[in-house]
Amino acid sequence: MRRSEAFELPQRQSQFAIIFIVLRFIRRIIRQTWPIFLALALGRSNSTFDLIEFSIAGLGIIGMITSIVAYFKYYFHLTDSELVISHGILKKVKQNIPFERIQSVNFRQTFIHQFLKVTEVEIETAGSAQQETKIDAIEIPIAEQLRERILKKKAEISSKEDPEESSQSITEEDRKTILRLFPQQLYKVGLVQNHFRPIGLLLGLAGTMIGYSYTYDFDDEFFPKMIYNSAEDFMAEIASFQSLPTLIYVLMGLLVLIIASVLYSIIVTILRHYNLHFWRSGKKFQLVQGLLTRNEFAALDNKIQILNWGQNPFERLVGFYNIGFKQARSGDETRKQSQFGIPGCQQEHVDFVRDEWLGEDSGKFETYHKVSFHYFLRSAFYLSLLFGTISIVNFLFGKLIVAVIIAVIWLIQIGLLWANYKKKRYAINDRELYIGGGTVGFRHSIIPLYKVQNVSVVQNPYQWRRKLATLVVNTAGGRIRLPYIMENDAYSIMDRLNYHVENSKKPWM
Amino acid sequence: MEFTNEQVRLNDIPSVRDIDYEGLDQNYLTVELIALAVVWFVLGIIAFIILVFNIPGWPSWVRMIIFIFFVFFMITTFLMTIWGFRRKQYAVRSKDIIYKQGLLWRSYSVLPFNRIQHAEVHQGPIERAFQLSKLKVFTAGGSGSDLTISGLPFERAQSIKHFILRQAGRDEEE
Repeated sequence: MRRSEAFELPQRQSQFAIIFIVLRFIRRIIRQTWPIFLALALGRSNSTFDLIEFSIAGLGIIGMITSIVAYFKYYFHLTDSELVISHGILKKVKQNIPFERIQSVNFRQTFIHQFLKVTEVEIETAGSAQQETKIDAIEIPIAEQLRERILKKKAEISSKEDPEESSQSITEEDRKTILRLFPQQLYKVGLVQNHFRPIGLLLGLAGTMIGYSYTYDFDDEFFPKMIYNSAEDFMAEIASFQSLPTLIYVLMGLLVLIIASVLYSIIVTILRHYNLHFWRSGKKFQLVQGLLTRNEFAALDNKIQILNWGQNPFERLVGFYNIGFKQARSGDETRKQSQFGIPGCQQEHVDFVRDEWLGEDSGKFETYHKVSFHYFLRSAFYLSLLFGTISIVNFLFGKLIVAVIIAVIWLIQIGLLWANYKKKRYAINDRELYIGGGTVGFRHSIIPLYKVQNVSVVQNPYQWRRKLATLVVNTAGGRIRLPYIMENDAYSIMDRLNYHVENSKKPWM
Repeated sequence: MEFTNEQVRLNDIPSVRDIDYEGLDQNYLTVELIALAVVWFVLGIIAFIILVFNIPGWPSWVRMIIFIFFVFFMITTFLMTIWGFRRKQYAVRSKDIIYKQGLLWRSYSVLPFNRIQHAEVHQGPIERAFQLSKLKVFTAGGSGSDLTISGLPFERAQSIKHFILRQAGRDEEE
């Protein structure tokens, strides 16, 4: 059957799909049988050698044949109301996907796809436990036509049901590019990513090991003596500052660590965000990015529940923001698909996205409220109790260095808590709820009031004795907590949110 | 629908605190106490074996202290259950359902009907014996935002469920 651009007739995927079917087969076989092969390979003798070779060859041949047959048995076509996919070698499977249930049609390209100029097509459906459907490989122009046809038919159907929505169906010309990141900008974006994470991880690991080896007794066999001794010497030298060479080594080590994590961040950023294109079309935001795997994300206005934007300290230096969407999840959709972020944005991009989503003049608040000082005080108190005790016990037992290190960590933690408390603030007007915060960086979230799912006010004994409360706002895309605000404020916000939700007729999901 | 935006005086918004709440069915307290008694019975057997047969070989004053703590905690949990039961209250308004609970850790949750996905009434074997049931209300916000009210009389739970679903349905039609 000739591949036609009319999708009414059942047609096959691109021939290259065989490659992906074979790859999937191999992956599955390896995942299921690798222990057997490992066992055979380890306990290998001359006779089992043949067995391994034969079974690999046998599986390979079976895999090739079934994959090719599977390819020839796989058809898809469009009817007036559905996308029909039929496949299966022994068991015939026919999937009928009504257009109105299709949420989005996404393209995904691994580097093999890119090389072969084909794309995987993901068809996301709503409200069912059924997983989304995938077509392994279609030539890009055909895939684009397919998507256009599906979305057009979907729009036609929904316009019949709901005439208001017909005005919302849009063509590709409405695309408004918000942000593009080319390699030269990507280096900058990578440079200002959060390097604390890899550094912190490594330092934490090293610290724990040194701490352990230091606190264990001499005759402890858990750590080899050598490590213990070097750690002991190491600590002593840092403490006395007498041995300069060691200090230099430590500083050099730190420098290497920093360079390594910066390089790591840049590489990850380039792989993930290569040729990032973020645009607005009609009532949705779309994003395409990635070097090895081209990923496409879409966020419909209705489905977006929370808009986030923030800066880490490095991003703050260069004025970059990262924007994040939290969307309502349906069925089996993973967190990854419903939430995505865009790095390297400017303030104007943030404003544009917010205004496009929430309408003109969004994000304007008269007063910003702070949370209670008790938010800091209580955490700081328990933290001090814990760290203070450990530090003093260590001091009393003569482990001065450990005591000092713990005291320093304690001070840093207190500082972070203080920063967190100072940055925490919220604001509400008759359309939106804003919550801002952050520890070393800044994080802002905005929710239109009508998107709220439910609200709770919770109080622990410390809070209700002081007429304080924590407000928990649940949306279909996640929850936001507003800790330690005045009890009366919490209840009045709760009432306001309920009032708005219960009077709203807007589609919220 | 046209977007309207008339000003709302904050004092006019109905408050969740100015309404009458209903307590749970008294039988549910019995169920809770029975469940607690079963737990303490098992713990009591263990404590009895340890203390009377004195397996670790503790001096008598240590055993005495453990015994006192045991009784103290037992009484406390029973008292907490009884006091906590009184604080578990709910209210159904025309547009939402409210549930509050907690003696030390207090919570107050409101679920608007037009955000409810579906509602269920459950009845376990013990609940059936006392003609009680559990009302579960689900929203799209993940398990954290769902609401469960245990200890409702079966008919009451059913009628609330029907009311909720009717209100939710009406809202969609409008």
